[in-house]
Amino acid sequence: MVKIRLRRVGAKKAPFYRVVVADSRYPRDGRFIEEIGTYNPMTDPSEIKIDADSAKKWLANGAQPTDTVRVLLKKSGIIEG
Amino acid sequence: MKNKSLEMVMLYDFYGATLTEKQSRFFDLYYNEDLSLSEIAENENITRQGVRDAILRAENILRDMEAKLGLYARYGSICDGLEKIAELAQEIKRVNSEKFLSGEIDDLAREITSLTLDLREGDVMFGVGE
Repeated sequence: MVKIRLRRVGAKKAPFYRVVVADSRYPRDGRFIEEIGTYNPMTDPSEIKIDADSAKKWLANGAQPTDTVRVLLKKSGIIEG
Repeated sequence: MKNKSLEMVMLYDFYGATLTEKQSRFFDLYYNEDLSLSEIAENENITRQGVRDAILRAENILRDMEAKLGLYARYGSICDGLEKIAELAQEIKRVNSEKFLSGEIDDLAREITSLTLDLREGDVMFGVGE
């Protein structure tokens, strides 16, 4: 299954995430199909940058967002709350 | 991401070394790699409940460490303080350039600014076991 999930990058004590499209079968080896955005939880308010066109394309093709990504997609207005 | 998640990943960065290898791995997969409990269970060949229990235990250990040591809270107040100090150093430079025109004051303010930058970028405090 293709999933849209967060992947943490960046330094210790400064969490920063990429929003990636990845196959759920190989989650750990760093491979992913496409990066469609970033998420910075450290700023106030948190900063969400997601390419709406790519996200919609992947969702339409059946990619499953994780719960956290679903929240980010709603917050950025890409999917309906 | 929920606020709880940010708190949890920060606590993990401070105290992760106090977890068992298994707790640490599951926690990392769940919070840093955004895998679901079921996905972790499948990858690790154990039950979803087993993964959930390990992560809950890990969360409790991390909270307990923070209650005892308070490194994350201190880290936050030190970062805030450093930011304030950097602002004040800028203010000193500005006032100096308008009123006093002292090269010495300017150099000292510059030194304060660069020290605060180094401290903010260079990880002021370390977590347990790092």
